Amino acid sequence: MQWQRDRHIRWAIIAFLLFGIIALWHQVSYQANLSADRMNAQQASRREWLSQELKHPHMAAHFGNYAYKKPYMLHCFDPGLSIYMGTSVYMEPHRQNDFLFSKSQESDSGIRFGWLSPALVCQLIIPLLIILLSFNTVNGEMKRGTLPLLLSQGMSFRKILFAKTFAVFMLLEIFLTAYLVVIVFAALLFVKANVDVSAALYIWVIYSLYGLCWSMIGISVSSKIKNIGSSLSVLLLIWMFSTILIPRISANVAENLYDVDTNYSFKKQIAEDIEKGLDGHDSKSERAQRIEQSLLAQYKVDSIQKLPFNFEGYIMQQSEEYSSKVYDIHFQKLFDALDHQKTVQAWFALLSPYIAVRNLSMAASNASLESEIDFQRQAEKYRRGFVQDMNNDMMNNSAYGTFFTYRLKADQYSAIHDLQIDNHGLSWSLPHVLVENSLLLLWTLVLLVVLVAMGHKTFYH
Amino acid sequence: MKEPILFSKLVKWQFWLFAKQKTNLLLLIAFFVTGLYGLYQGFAFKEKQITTIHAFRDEKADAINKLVAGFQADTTTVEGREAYQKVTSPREANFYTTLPVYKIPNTTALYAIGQGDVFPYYYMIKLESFFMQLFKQGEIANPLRALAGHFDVSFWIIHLLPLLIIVLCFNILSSELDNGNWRLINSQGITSKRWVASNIFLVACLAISLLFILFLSGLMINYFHFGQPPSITDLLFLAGACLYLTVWLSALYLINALRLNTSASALYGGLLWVLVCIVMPALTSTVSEKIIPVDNTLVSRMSRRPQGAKFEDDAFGIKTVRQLGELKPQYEKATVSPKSQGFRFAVYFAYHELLDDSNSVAVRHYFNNIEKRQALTNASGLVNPAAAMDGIFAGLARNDAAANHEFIGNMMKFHQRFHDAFFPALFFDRALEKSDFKKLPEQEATASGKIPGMIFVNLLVFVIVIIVLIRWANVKFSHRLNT
Repeated sequence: MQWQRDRHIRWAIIAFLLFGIIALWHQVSYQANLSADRMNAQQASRREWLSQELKHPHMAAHFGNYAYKKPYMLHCFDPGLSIYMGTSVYMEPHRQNDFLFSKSQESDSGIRFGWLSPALVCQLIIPLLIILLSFNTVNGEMKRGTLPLLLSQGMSFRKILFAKTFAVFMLLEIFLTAYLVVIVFAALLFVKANVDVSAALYIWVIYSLYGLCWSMIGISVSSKIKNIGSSLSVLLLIWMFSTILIPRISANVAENLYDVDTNYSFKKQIAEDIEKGLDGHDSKSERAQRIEQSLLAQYKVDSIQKLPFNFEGYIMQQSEEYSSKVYDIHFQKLFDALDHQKTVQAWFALLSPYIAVRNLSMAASNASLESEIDFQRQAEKYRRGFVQDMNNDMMNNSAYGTFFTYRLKADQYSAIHDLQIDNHGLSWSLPHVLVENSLLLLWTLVLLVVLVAMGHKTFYH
Repeated sequence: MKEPILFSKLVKWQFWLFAKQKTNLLLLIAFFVTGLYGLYQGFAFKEKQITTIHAFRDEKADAINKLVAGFQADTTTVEGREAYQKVTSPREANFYTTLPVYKIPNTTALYAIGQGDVFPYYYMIKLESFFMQLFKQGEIANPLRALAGHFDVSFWIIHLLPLLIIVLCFNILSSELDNGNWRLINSQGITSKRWVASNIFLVACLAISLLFILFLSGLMINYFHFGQPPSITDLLFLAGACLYLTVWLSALYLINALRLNTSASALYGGLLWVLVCIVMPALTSTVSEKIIPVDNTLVSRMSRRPQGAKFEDDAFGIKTVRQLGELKPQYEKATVSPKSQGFRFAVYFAYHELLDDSNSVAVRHYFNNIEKRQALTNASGLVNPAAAMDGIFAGLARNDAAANHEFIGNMMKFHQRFHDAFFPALFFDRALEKSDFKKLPEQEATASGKIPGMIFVNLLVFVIVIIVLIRWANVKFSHRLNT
C-alpha cells in the first residue's frame, strides 16, 4: 500500500488511532459514572418519597417524584441526542414540567465541535483514515509507472480498482471489528449494562457499509484525478462538505421549514386550552359545574356532600384528565414538528452518507429522537399514574372538606410503585429509520455502479 | 540582476491570475453566500428571542397593571371588592403576581449563537423558592439542530474561512512547480518568499473583505432592525476574527515555506484543519470534563415543593419565622403570629427563603463548575484556537455559560427585590399597599455587553503565534535560498 511509504500518513494514522482510544476511554468512563449517579439520584428520590411525612394525598402528590434517564449500554459508543435533551424531570400534579439538565447545558461551547465518542471517531475520523489510505492508490501507481506493469500481468483495470477498494476496506474492517468488540466488553465491565448483541451487530454492519462507501469514493477519486495533490484536496473537500457543512445546512433548512415553538408560547397555549377549553368555549368552571350536575343527577342527591365519594378528589382527577388531554395534543404537535425536521434531515442523506449513518447509529444506540421522546412519555405515564392514585385515595378515603385534616396511611407511599424506565431494543428503533437505511444502501449501490463503470475507462493511457 | 518587482505590483499580478480563473470567483461567491446564510440564521435566532421577550414582558406587565388597578376599584360593588381583595391580600396578590425576567440578546449575538439555544433567556419569577422555580423551567432546545450545530457567522469564520484559505493557498509554490511555471516566475526576479507572500496577502485581503462586508451588514441590521447601535463587543469580535484568520494565513505561509509537494501540502493543510476544528476541541472538552466534573443530581431535586403537615404546626411556624429573622435582620421583629390570618402563608415563604439559603452553596458550586469549563476552553487558544475563539465569540455575544450564570445571579437579586416588596406586608401582618407594588423590581431592557477578559489574552496569544509562524516560515525560505 502507498501509505506505508509516506511517514506523514503513517503518523497521521497513528494519531487518529490514539484519538479513537481516548474517545473510547472517555465515553466508557463517562457513561459508567453517569449510570451510577443517575441510579443513586433515582434511589434518593424514591427514598425521599417513601420517607415524607404523612400528609394529604394532594400535598403528597405535589411533593412529587423525579425521573432520571437511564444510560443505555451502547451510549458508550454513541450518546447521540441524549446529550442535547433533558435528562431528568420533576413530576407533580397539574403540569408536565420541562425536562432539564441536558449535558450540552453543562458543557463548554467546545461540545458544539463534536463530543468525543467512538461514534464521532467512526463517523468523522474513519473516513479521513480511508482518504489517507486511498487518495494516491491508483494515481500513485500511474505516477510511478507501476500501473501498466500490473495490467500487463493480465489484471483488468476494474479488478485493480476492486482489489484496492477491498484492501482499504479490510483495513477498516479490522479496526472497526476490534474497536466494537472492545467497546462492548468495556461497557459490560464498567457500565455493567446488558449487552444488546443485535444492536452491536447492526452498528457493525452500518459502519462497514459506511466505510465501504468511503473506500469506493477514495478509490474512484484516485483513479479519476491524475494529480495526487488534487485528488487529496478533492477528497478532503468532499469529507468537509458531507460531514460538516451539509449536516448543519440540513438542520437549519429543517428548522426553517418546521419551526419549533418557544416554551413561552407553547405553555401559554396549553394554559389557555386548559382554562378556556380545547374549543375555546368550555371554561374550567363550566366543565366543573357540568360534572357536578351530572354526578348529582346520576346519584340522585342534591348536594356534593351527599355523594358516596369525596367530590374534591373526583373533580381533581377529572381536571387532571382534561389537562392531560391538552398536554397530549400540544406535545404531539411539538413531537410532530421534530419528527418532520428529522425526516427532512434524513433526506439530506442523499447528499451525505454521514447523515444516514449518524441517524442509524443513534437509533441503534437508543439515543435517537424517538428514544428521547419515549423516555419523556414513560416518565409522563408514571406521573399520571401516581397522581391518579393519590386522587383516588382522596376520593375514596377522605370526606368532603377535610383537605387540612385528612392524612394518607403510611403504606400508601410504598403502594406507588417505583419508576422503571425501559430502554428499547433494536427492533423498536428500526422502523423509525427506514429512510436512512434505504439511503445508505443506495449510496453503496450507486458507488458500486460508479466503480464498475470506471473499470471500463482507461484514463491511464 | 533584475530589479525586484514592487510588492504591490506583484499582488496586482496575483489578482489578475486569480481573477482569470472563473472557479476562483465562483468559490468566493459560494463562500460569501454561505456567510450571508450564516448572518440570516443569527438574525432569525435573535429575532425569535426578542419577539418572545417582548410578548412575554408585555403580557406580564398587563397582568400586574390589571391587578394594581384593584386599588382604585369601587368597593361598593362585588367585582370591586374582589379586585381590591386580590391586590391587598398578600396571599391572593401572590397568586396573580408573576414577574418577567429576560436576557435581551446583545449586538454581537447576531454573529454568534454560541450556547444561546440551550440556555433559557427568560424566566417567570414568583415569590416562592427561587431554586424551586429555576430548576423547573427550561426552553425547548431543538436537539436536532443542537446536534448538527449552528450555521452562524461564527461557524463561517471558524470553520469555513480557514477552508477557503487552505483551498486557495495550500499549493502556491508546488502548483507552479508542477505546472513548470516556476522557472519563468523566478526569472523575473521574484523569490519564492515574495511569490508566496503576495499570494497570501491577496487571499487575506479577499477573506477579510468578505468578513468586513458581512460584519457591516450585521451592524446595519442591528441598528436599523433591532435599534441597537454598534458596541465594543462587535469591534472585539471583528478584531478576534481578523487575528484568527491571520493565524491560518500564517500557517499556510509556513506550509508553503516547507516546499512540500502538492500532495503533502494538501495533507498538511487538510490535517491541520481537522486537528484545529475537530480533534483539539473534542480533546479539550474531554480534558475539561475530567478536570472539572459537574454533577446535577443534587440540584436537580431542588424543584421539589416543600409541603406537608409541619406547616400546620404553630411551633414549627414560629421557629421558622424566627430563623428568617436571623437570616434577614429586617424581619427580626416580624409581627406575624399564629393568630394572624396570613401566618401559614408567611411560614411557607419563610421556609422557602431558608431553603434557598441552605441550597445556595450547592447551586453556586454547580454553576461555577460549568463556567470554569468554559473558561478553560477559552484559555486554550494556544493549542485549541478554534474552540477558544468560538468560546470567546459566544462570550462577547453573551451566549455562553458565564453569561448564563450572570443572568441567574441577576435573577436571584431580582427575586430578593421581589421579596423586599411583598415580605413586609406578609411578615408585619398588614395589607399590601400601592407603595409595595411600586417597589416591585423592573428589569432594565438593555442587553448585557460584558467583555470576557480572556479575549485579550487570546488575541495576544494569536499575535505571538502569528509572529512565530511567520518567522519560522521566513527562516525556512532563507534556508532554502542559502542551500
